[in-house]
Amino acid sequence: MIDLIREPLQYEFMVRGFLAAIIVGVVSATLGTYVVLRGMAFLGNALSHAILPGVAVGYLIEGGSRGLLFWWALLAAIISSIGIGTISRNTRVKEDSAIGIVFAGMFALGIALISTVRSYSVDLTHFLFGNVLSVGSSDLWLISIFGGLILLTILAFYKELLVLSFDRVLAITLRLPVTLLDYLLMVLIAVAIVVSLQTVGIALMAAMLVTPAATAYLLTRRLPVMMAIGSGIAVLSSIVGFYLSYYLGIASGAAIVLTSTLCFMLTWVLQAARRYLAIHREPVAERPVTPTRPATSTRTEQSEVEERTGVGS
Amino acid sequence: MLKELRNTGKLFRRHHPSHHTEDTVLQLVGLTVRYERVPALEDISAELRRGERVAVVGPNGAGKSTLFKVIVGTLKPTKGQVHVYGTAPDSHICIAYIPQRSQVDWNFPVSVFDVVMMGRVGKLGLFRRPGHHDRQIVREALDLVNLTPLANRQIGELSGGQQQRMFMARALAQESELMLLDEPFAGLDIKSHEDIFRILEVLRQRNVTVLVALHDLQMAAERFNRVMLLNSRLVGFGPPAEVFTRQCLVEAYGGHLQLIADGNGNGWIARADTCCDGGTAHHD
Repeated sequence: MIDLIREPLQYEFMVRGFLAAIIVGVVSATLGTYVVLRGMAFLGNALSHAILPGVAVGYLIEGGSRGLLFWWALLAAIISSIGIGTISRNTRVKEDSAIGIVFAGMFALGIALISTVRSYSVDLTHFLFGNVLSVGSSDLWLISIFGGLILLTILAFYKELLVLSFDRVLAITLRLPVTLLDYLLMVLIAVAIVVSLQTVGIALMAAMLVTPAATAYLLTRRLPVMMAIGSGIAVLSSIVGFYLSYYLGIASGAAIVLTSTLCFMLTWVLQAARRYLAIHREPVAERPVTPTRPATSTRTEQSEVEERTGVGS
Repeated sequence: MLKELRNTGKLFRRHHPSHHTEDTVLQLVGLTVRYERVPALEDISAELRRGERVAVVGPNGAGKSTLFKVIVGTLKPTKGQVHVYGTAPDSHICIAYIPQRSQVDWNFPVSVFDVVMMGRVGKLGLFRRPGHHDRQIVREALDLVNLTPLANRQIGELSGGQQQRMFMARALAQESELMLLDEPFAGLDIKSHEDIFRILEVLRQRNVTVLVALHDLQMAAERFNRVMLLNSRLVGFGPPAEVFTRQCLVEAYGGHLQLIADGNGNGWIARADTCCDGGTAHHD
């Protein structure tokens, strides 16, 4: 058993891939918390596809080497995110349409560029679905530095991003720079996508932003805890996915995402089962799901609860 | 966006316009808002004095929410101006807007304490974490609205009345001097109404100016200094007895108002056939 775990880590390039997968997990799950809470999953998916032309340009210029690929991808992601923001702000087109236009256009441009190379399909597959084995030592540095920068930025703007995500009008009345913070979050997502390019790949990146954070959302009702649990699930998925990829020879991105999807399904099913048991084991009037309330004026409390469940759901 | 960039500097210095001790807190000058040519507010002019409690009433679509958005500064008027302590509202952090409960994501993973602490973010400025002083203010605010025992609850676990009080605590923590409440009584029982009025009484003592959007004319008449009767235009603004005249009410509500003659010969009873966004029954 120990040997099974140790075997892939004998090779230095495997260790690099392993570390990259862990860093990407933590970064994307932490950032993903905001993506889930603000309903930006579609934006995340679109941005990850929109970096393809950047990847393609880097690939064509370097002739297969990966040196500047990272920076070209970052450039494409930032252009796309600013493009989406500008279109939805300055035209009558709604944001989801703006996202659709930019993402499809950029993705098509990327495919057009890559298809000019004769044997493009193999390389395209790597960009789309990730290949942890290709993480070089300079790549690992870039992944660590930018991953760290993303986490630091989230920490620095924690309370502003929290207010903006929960209550936009409050953010405006507190005179926070709302538009700037919106763009900041988009740029952070763009950077996270580029960072994850090699481990998960373009096509499945949105899952890294959404699935672990959404799983954590089922498990907790506190934001910092949600970030921590999300990171934990993402790291677990990355590690398990990494080994699955090594031993079964499947694409690393697919393996990681499938593992995190499994985590989500398990959590969901277990919670549903627990709720079912809780309801059927005890008398219905006890309302076991709701934690105990203070015993003040039970009469009105009761009526307020009923009114809340009636209006709120 | 460029303006925001310039203003970001202010967040570090925490500079906000000074409040003179003058009596006028809010001044509306010929305020007009049109959505795609359709007028939502027409030529509204009014002044609010420090510490008074004003009810904003009118039929659905009368522009109550629009008026609040313009005062808060999230919507720019087509014509006219809003002055808060003599300057434009978008430089003030003393204006608190309390949203309708139906517009809040109650599944958001924050506690009651967290939400009230959000009121402090404007005063803190960028890169500063809440300190002892801020926590003290939050605790006092929670205490004042009787939510201290529920401070660590997730917000979705609160009842409707408690949710409303939580937002009032947030406005208190914000140290706001002008508070706008959008249909705070919608869907709440009588006990919760009284809880809210008890807090409004404390706000009056603290000289906080309060503007409340309402649909209950009787409550507006009995519990507010002045009422603002809207129907896109300002139909009337003054003490309830002067504004709630037969003529004004018919002008504001038109066919949606039933005027029933009072048995004692003292006049008549108004029955407004409108309702709040929350979609609950009216109380008249």
